[in-house]
Parts: sequence; structure tokens; C-alpha cells
Amino acid sequence: MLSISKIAKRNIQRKPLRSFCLILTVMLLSSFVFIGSVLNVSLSDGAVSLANRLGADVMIVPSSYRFSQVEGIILTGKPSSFYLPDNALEEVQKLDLGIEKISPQTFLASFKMSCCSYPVQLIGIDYDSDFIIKHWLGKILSQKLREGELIIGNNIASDVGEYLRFFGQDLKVAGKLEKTGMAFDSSVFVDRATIEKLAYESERISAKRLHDSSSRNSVIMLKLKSGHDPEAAAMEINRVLGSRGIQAIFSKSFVNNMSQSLVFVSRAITLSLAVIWFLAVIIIGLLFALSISERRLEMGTLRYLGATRAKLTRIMLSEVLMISSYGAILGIFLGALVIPVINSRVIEALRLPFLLSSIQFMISAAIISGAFAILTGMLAALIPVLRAGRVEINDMLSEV
Amino acid sequence: MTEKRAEFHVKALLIIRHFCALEIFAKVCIIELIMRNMRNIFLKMNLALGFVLASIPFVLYPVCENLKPDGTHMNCFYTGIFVTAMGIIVVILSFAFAKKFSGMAFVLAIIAAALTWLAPNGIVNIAGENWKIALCSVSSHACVADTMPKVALIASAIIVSSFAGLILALIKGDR
Amino acid sequence: MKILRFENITKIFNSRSSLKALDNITLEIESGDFVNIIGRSGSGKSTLLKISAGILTPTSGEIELDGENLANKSDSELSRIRNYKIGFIPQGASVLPNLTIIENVILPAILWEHGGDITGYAMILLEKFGIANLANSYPSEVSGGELRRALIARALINHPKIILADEPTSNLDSESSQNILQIFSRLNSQENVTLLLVSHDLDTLKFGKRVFEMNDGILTQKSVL
Repeated sequence: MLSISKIAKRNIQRKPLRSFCLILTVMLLSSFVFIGSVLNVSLSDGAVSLANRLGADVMIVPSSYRFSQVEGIILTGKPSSFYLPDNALEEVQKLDLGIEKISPQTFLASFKMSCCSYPVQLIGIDYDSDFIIKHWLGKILSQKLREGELIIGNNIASDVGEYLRFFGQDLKVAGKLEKTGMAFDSSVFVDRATIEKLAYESERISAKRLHDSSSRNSVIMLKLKSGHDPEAAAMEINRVLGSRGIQAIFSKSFVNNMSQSLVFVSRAITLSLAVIWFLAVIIIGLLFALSISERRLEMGTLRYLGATRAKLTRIMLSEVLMISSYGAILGIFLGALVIPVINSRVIEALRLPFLLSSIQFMISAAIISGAFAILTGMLAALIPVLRAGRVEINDMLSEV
Repeated sequence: MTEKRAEFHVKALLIIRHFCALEIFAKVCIIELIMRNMRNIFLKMNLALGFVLASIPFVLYPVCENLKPDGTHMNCFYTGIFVTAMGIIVVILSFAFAKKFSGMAFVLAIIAAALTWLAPNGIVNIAGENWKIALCSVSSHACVADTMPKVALIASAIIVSSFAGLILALIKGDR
Repeated sequence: MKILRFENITKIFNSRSSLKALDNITLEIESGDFVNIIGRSGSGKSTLLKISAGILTPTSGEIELDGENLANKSDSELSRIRNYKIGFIPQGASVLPNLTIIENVILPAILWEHGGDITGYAMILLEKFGIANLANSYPSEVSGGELRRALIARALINHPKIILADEPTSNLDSESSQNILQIFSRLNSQENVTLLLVSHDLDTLKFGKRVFEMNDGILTQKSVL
């Protein structure tokens, strides 16, 4: 049975190429809004997560590493092995900095042993003093991380109870971290004894010493008692121990530095969205105005057959609604395909922590993006549609 | 046990190769016949691209076929099978829905093409006992250096073609 | 019963120079009447028809359709009157090209709520005019004469009080023209449909109960058959 929506549908079919362009425009708009909003929120979540849960006020690293290198290792970095000079931990402990907690970490890059093994960052932690990794621990088999066990980052494709092999050692997965948005996601954590053993195996296999000194500490994490300034503490460490090949970085500097990048990326995304939105409005408006001007006679026919101005407007708006809905749904579909790709690539490309938003947020973002694209389509077509509705019937039939 | 498994895998590989050769022959013979009955240009494109996709991992840009020390295949081998299967699915979809519901063919083709990238890169986890759809970690290995870039290219082309076909299907319906 | 009444209708177009298209026209059409207005192009006959259909408003004078004064009606009221009371057949192929013939015929019935089996009635009309086999064809697939018959069916779908036809035989061969005019004649004689037909085709003089001539906006009665 013929209906208003069927008339609208047939109008869409009449000019397939034009309808194709209109749907494509709305589709691109919808997908860009969806992807852009998820990207923005994921980056922002990553930054907030880093600021809130990095845990350490001050990080002590070898002075041979530049700030950007350390930042790269912590946020997105590739597996690397680096070590502090001997007795660094003891010397830092001696300083009067107002230390509440102190915990060393040992970094060891896994070998690419065979074709399909994981190239991951192995991190040795002192489980008793650790105040960083435990924060992120979702589930663990035992109360304590024991020798021969490991905790895996969220991106490691394994699960609790399974075994992973590093340097010829089979280690049991005792726990898995929540998603952190940092390099922790693709790291593996073991206790001090295990990392010593793995480092020994690493040296044995490669027949090369990892480091000249006997130290196995790569990073020392410090948490200060309340009232103590991390920046002042970092400066004091650098003043006293700077000549010993030690440098201290206060964590907030990560976040500050990152915030600037984040603001830039966020602005770039917002600006792109604004440009795309503006172009979409122009394209949809122009194509629809063209389409309407070509159909004056048909509109005149509908009017003399008894269609009111309002009904004529409704028919035309149904057409826009249909086109915009198709475009919006396809755009969300496209966005849903692109977001996982972005998730895996953005960390490398932007060097920013990226914490993919929750599924609830993504569903909301998809619905809002779709609605926004539909509204944009309707808005862009509104002016030509309303103008067409105002034309006198006799003028519409002037071609008759 | 390991020897038997290795033997089985070698046989499986041979069957796949035979299938690929047969597929090429069969396709060359019937492709024209099928295309004549397909009005939709994007279905035709998907048919051709699906065929190319299916042929990449074992014919055009083969994955590394070496066995692991324990006699089993590496992950890239299973990825190759998976990509071939997805290519065949795209081909089947192209003529199974040639007359009606072409929109459905395009949606499923998009999903199949997307999986050829998402699964090997670990975004969609497809694994079973002793096998896993994944890539080698060494960037110089064939699956990473040759196969996957071509798979990604053809999969992207299928996705673009399918989206265009899907838009057209929405506009025209099955008219 | 009076269906259409013009009283001192004058229409002046003010586009470039003032042009008096209709000059003080007075005309009454009774139910079951068949009025034929002839005149050369530009004489004002189409303007008269459009004023009758509420498409144009007169500069002065009064027009009444089925007892309702068309002056000062809102767009919605005028649209309702056009839909319920008038079957308008404009010049040329005024159809929606993407709808089939039967969909074009039932189009007026879905613009306002009309009960009943619309599709069934549309098929009856198409059968009556000998084009039932073209129901599912598109306008581009049928001939000019067949399309004109479909337009007559469309004009009748809502059981209007009057059919207004503007040059119904233009651009048709003589056989098709005769066919169309016979349909009008039959509708009037057998089903008592009220018709107002304007044309410059002198062949139409043979049809209609009353014939008028329009000359420079002035209407004069030629004959009563």
C-alpha cells in the first residue's frame, strides 16, 4: 500500500547517484563523530588514569635516559633493558625526602625467541613494597606473587592459570592487570627472585652482560608523605645523586607534558569534526536544494491533488530522515570497525596513554553520533525544504 | 604423536594447495558465467576481490610454512587458513545473494573482511587448543612483511566496495 | 444543485505589466453539467480552471464550490477541498514518475484519510479505461494516451464533485484524443459526473452540454447541445 514513507523511498530511488552521495556524506559525518568522540574520551581517560593511578610521586631512572625516552617506556614503550648504578636504592633511602613508600622495579626485554613468542617488557617488582602494580590487579591466585609466577598486563593474550615461556622458563600466570592505557598493558610482572633468574638466563643465552654493575634496579618508584613536594624531592635527588648517574622525575611532569599533547590532539579532532560537519551541511543542503528544484512539477502535482504545505514538507523531510538514518547507521557500523584498529595503532602513533572507553560509553557515543548525523542532515535540508513548501502551486506547475 | 601431527599438517597443507589450484581453475571457468547473472557491480567486485583474498596466503604471497621445533604449525599458518576461509566466504556471499538480499551479502562481507585484519592482530581473539589466529612477532617474517599488508589492502578494498554496495542496496532495495 | 459558481471574477497578473487574464466572468455549473470552454492559447481559459481548483486566487469576484466560498480559506482547507471535491487533470504528464500507474491513481486517496478499498476501486477505474494491464507499469513505460486515461482515473479516485480538465487532448494523436473525449462523454452521460473542460482543440466542440468561448479573458456562450 502506498504511503508517505513509500513516496519518500521512491524519491530516493529516483536519483541513485545523488542519494548515494547524500548517504555517503551522512555516513562519513556519523563515523567521524563516533570515532572522534571515542578517541577524545579514550585519550582523556588514559591521561586521567595515568595521573590518578600511576601511584608514584617521583620516579628515579638512569640519567643516561632522556625524559622523552623514559616517558616513551612508561607510556607506550618498546621492551627495553636499562639499569641504575649500584646502591642507588640505598642512597635514595638515606636522603631525607619524606618517603612514605619506596619500591624498585627491574626492566628486562624478552627475546624474540621464536616466530610467535611475545616480545614483551618483563618487569621485576618487589611485591611486598610495591604500591603501583597491586592497584591494577584484577584477580590473583595467591596472596603473594611467588617465584616462578607472573602477573600479566591486560593486552597479553593469556589467562590466569596458564603458563608462559620466557628464556626457557615456564612461568605460571597468577594474575592479570586491569586495562591501564600504559605500557603496563603489554608487560609481564615477576618477583625479584624470578627476574634475577630470567636476567641470568638472558645473559647466558645472549652471552652478553646486561649491565656492568651488579644492580638489577631499573626504576625506583617513590611515594612521599603528605605535605612533601614531589618537585622539590626530585630536585634534591638530582642535586645530591645527579653525578652518580641518577635522575629523578616527578610524575606530574609526565601528566603536564602529556596534557599539552592531549589538548593539541583533542583540538585537532574537534576542529576536524567541525570542518566535516560544515562540509556535510553544505553538501547535503546543496544536493537537496538541487533535488527539490528538479522536482517542482512533482511537488505541484502533490499540491493540486490535495497535499497541504505541511504534508509536502513531511514527505520531503521523510526523504531526508531516511537518507540520514541510512547514513547514520552505516557510519556507526564503519566507526565500530575502525575503532579497534585505532585502539591498536593510536598508542604507537600518538605516544599518548589510550584507555579505550567502556562498551556502555561506546554504545551511547554511537547513538548520540547517529542522532547528531541525522539532525545535521535534517537541519541542512530544512531551508530548501521549507522554501519549497512556500512556493505557490501555480509557480510549481509553471512547467505544465 | 608429534610425527603424526606433523604428517597431518603436511597433508592439510597439500589439500589447501590443491584446493587453491582447483579454486583458480574453477573460478576462471565460472566467473564470467556468474558475473553475467549479477547486475550489481559491487557484488562483482566482491567476487573478484574475495577470490584474490582467498588466494593470498597460500598462492600469491604465501605465509611462512616452516614447522615449529615441536612439529606443529606456527600461528601464521592458521592465519593463512583463516584468511583463505574468509575470502571463500566473500566469494560465496557474492553469488549466494546475487538475486535478493544483496545488503545482507555486503554486511557479512564487511565483517569477514574486517576479521582478516582484526583476528591476526589480536583484536578479535580466535584460538583453540594448540592453534591461534595470530602473526609472527618478527617483522621480517613472510606473514608480517608480505602476506598481511596485501591481505589488509584487499580486505580494505572489500570493505569499501561492500559499503558502496550496501548504500546502493539501501537505495534501490531489490529492484 | 449548483456545483461551481463564478461571480464577476477578474484576474489581473502583475508580474511585469498588468495583464487582465479574466474579465468579469460569471458562470454557474450545475451537477451533471458538461461545460466545454474553447479558446486559443493565452486567452485565459487555464487561469479560469486554476481559479476553479483554488490554485490561483481571483483579483476580484466570488467563487463558490459545492456551496463553499473559496475566498479566505486556509491552505489546509483549500487542500481538503481540492482533495475531496475536485478531480483536476492538468495539461501534460503531471505524474510522479517513480510511482507505478496504480500508485499514481491512488495517490490522492492517501493524502487525506479516505476509507474503503482504494486499491480495488483504482483497479475498477483502470479496467473501465482499458489500462488494467498497465497497473504495475511506470509512467515512462506507457503511451501518452494511456497516461492520460490514468490521469482521468486518478481524478475520479476520491469521487469528486467536479472534474476539471485542462487541454486533455493536447499532444495526443486523433485516435487517442477521440478515445479520451468519449471517456468524458460516457462519464457524464452514464455516471452523471460534472465536467468542466478547457481546450483549444476544436474537436472537443462535439462534446459537452454547453460550449463557451474564451477570448482575451472574456467568456461568451457559444452553444447549448
